[in-house]
Amino acid sequence: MTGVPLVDFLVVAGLLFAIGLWTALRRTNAIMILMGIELMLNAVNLNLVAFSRYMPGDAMRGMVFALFVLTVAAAEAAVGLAIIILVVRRRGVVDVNKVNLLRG
Amino acid sequence: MPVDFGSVGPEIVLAGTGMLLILLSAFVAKERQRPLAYVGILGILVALALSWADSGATGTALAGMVRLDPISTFFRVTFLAAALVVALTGLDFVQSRGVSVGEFYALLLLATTGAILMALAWDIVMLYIGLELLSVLSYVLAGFFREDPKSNEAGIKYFLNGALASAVLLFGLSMVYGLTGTTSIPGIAAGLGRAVQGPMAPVALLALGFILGALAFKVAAVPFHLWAPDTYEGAPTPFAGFLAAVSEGAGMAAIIRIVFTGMAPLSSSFGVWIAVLAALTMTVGNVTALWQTNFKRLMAYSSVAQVGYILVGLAVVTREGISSVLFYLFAYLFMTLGVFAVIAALSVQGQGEDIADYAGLGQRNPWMAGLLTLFMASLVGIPTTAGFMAKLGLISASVSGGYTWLALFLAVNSAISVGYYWNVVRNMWLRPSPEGAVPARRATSAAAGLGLAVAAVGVLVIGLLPNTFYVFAHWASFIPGH
Repeated sequence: MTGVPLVDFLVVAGLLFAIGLWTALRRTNAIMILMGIELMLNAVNLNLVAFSRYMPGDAMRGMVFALFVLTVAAAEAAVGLAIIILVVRRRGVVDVNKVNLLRG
Repeated sequence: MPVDFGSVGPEIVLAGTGMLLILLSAFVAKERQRPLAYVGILGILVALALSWADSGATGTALAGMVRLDPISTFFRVTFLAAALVVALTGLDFVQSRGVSVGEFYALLLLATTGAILMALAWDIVMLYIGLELLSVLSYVLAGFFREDPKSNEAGIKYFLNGALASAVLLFGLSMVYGLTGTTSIPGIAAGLGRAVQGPMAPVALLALGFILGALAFKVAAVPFHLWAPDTYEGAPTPFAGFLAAVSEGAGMAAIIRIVFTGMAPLSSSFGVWIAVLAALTMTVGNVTALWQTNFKRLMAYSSVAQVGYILVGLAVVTREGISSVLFYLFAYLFMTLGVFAVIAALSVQGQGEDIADYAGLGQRNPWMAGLLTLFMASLVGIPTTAGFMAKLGLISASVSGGYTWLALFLAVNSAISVGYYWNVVRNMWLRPSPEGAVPARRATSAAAGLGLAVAAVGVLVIGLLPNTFYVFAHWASFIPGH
């Protein structure tokens, strides 16, 4: 693999992370927030895999870490979607600003 | 290479019991699941005995993924003790709501396993796995009462905030991996030591910012605390206690592992950052608590304030500071779990959760009112209680560490906190019961009584005989790299 320097990967990952963070902070739809978080996790994985590819020496650790992140993110999304579905069934809204019984 | 499973015996017992409970609760009718809670409590006791027997062990295990040393033993014992008190005092409450007791205890045990793994972690992959095990199960526990819209809301808010914090933490960890080329915590310390000499020093600081910010989120430090009040108020009461005692402790353990040990070369920066975080956290927590009318929400802000106090000990970055943090965490578990246990026990008897509902409790139920007064006295830091000795330790560590202004902040904040704790105590003893108040019913179940007794005895013994615990905390406070 030649031609693509490490910094390109990092720029893409940085952009993905920024887009994800922006989405997660600005959107009020719970599904969109979850999607923003998934984008941030993808940025992390891209970072890890890119570093791992260009790292001298103990290179596999980053790839293995990325696999762990993927697996855990799937579990997290499953739990999260279950909670969101529960709220939608009970209240009929996915908008987190309208889920507001608790305040003070 | 043989894998040494014996060194993580307590975690295997805990996780095994948790999974057994999931299996058993599929076969036992919901109404008859009370014995499953006893199985869970037995599992915690066995794990506690194993970690006690194992307390002298030092070294790494599981191919360098975990490290056994005094501080990890300390966190093991602390989290297991907290889980034990939660398990004893939460039983009646969970059962009274008609949900599956077995599932609740399974999740509780597995979440505790995650917290312990965070404290044992010697590799950022293990740290992350432990954190996610704790967090994902906590989201489920917060929303455990599926029929209760408040519990749903607590679950969704905790999930969205927590998942965001996890992603930010991971981004910081991925930068650390890029800078050092390793995921092992001692390797990171060595690699960062080289990196800060070179042109990548600002990147290291950025990574530190991401990691510290995300962990501040997990421990509910200001300005990342906004999820806490909603989650505490809506979540099942025993789990709210678990959040305050175990989740926060696990966040502190993670800060000690990854920031203090792994990022030790940056210690000149993070001391100041943590000090600012501490000052902000205790002030905002205490001042906001003054306006609360819901007792669980009040306790959420109170726990935010307590996190601020604990961060004072971390800010000084000395062994004495860490020792005072450990002492505080150990003392704090008894007082805060005691308060949540009283709230849970009274709400089983049908009492509301607003502070106004506590008016006249001294006449209706003097035992509960007395216990609540004791725990609140300890949270304020009245002499002869555990809270006093714990705060004294923090103040002396911060003065000798050169943070006199922070010690002053702590003292002023303790004075502010008297306002809202006194409000509850005055309500209980000096105000008449409201119309239609729940009549006295003194008897609690043996489990809840035992749990409350453990909490009360803990608060008094640590307050009156602090030396043993000082020695314990000081022994545990040795961390590599300092």
